[in-house]
Amino acid sequence: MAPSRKTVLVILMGASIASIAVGTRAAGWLRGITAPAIAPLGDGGMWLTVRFKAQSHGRQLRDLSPEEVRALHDEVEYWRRRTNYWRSRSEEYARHLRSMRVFEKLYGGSFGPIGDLPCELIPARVVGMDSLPYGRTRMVTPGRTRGVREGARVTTFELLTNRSKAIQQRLWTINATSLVGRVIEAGAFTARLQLVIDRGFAMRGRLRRRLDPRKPRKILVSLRDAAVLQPLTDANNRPVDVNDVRGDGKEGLIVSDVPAGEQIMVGDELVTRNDDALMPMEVRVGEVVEVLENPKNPEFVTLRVRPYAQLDALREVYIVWPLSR
Amino acid sequence: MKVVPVRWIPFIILAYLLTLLQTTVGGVLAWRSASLGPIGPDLLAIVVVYVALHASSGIDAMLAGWILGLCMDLTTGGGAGGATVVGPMPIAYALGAASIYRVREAFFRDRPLPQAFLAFLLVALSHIFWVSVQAMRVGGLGGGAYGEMVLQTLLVALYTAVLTPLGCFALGRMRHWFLTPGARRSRRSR
Repeated sequence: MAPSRKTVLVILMGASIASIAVGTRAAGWLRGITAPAIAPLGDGGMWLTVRFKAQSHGRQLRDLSPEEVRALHDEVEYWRRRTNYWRSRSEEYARHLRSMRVFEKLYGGSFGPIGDLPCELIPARVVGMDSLPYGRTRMVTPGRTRGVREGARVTTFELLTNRSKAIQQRLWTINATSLVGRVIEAGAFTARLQLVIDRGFAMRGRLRRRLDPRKPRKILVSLRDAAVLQPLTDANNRPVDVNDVRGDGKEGLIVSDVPAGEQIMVGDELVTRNDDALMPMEVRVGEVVEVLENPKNPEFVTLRVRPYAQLDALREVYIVWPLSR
Repeated sequence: MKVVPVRWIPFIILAYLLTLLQTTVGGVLAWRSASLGPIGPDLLAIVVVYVALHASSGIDAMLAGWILGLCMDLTTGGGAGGATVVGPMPIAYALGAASIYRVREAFFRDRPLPQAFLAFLLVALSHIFWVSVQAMRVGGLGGGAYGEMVLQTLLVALYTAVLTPLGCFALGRMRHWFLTPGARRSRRSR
């Protein structure tokens, strides 16, 4: 005899309560087995959404004021001088490289191969978003079948250019990486990506201060027994490690407990730490957009960071899997 | 308009298609508030309201709500400070559908204003329940963040309420796909 609809409803409600009691492990498993139903057809919808979002969030250009033009000109001059310096260094290194290649030809067979990137990059595509707007996660393919596991970091590759017109094909290009999140659930064919701006996202990071001749700053430097204020230069511009980086659930990240003496400013850069077991390299995360003083403890400041990646229009990503694991 | 039993297979296909819409093209309908985060409509809640207003029995309305809530939970991975659990939304939608079913005789169910009002109540209460359960079960959500999320749920409810009359009109045009014509006629729908 088939159970009545009332019995079915009672069983289903009981199953819901049991699922809440079991927790996120059961939820991950359930999502893993049902997500492949969404993934194939979700691809087309996400393409439309990404196109729309990329259009609507395009950066608006405005005319520069004469002061801004002058400042830009000074900055260009500064970087031109720096470029000349590094060009001469580059030529010097090129000479070294040529001699090393000769050495490699002679003795290269005696040693094993050395990988320059200690990670495998698994290409993935965003095929779905959260139904509810409270979390900032995305569904990506592939999943476990291609080696994706929970905890893996996810990056996106962007092409950087300062030209207003389209770049011709077949030119060399420079690309940069930026972190977009990490995998929090991995099913057979799909995985769930938690964006860096999600409330649950947390990581350790590293701040890199940008040297700007227009904004000189002094930092506290320890010399033997005393700490003295010195202008920030190439020589003493060491990275600042931070342990508490979290997503704010809206459109950025919050970096807490940053020593005020490090003089972090708007425009400085947040990167990942190369001592992280899951991401053993430095990858850009975002730019500091606001420095907030802590009224309770003036020795520390809180930073707001805007991610480099355009997370609303995220489509192609790379899942980082360290080869050492 | 007649009150009718649900045709379950077409209804599940409808739920699947709407979930697909919500998780992909739904992003186009969402707008981003700098202080609260993204605000988007809950398309599945509109179906819950429509089915609860037109189903032939409270059990049918609750089952439909449970299925749509499950679709919602299975496609939501983040929210209250970490990976979320599955279960709160099926319970919330099922209870919400039962409540709407019980009070529907007090409303003119084909008028836009009652539809929008019921959708606002359903989304606000079910989403606050969802956020609260997730915050308790998963943890990692401070008092300030919880308050912001509650405010966000109210805006989501308002947005959904605005779209509900349009959604109910569209569902009314295709109701013969997922609701079987029945015999009983409701007093307040004539």
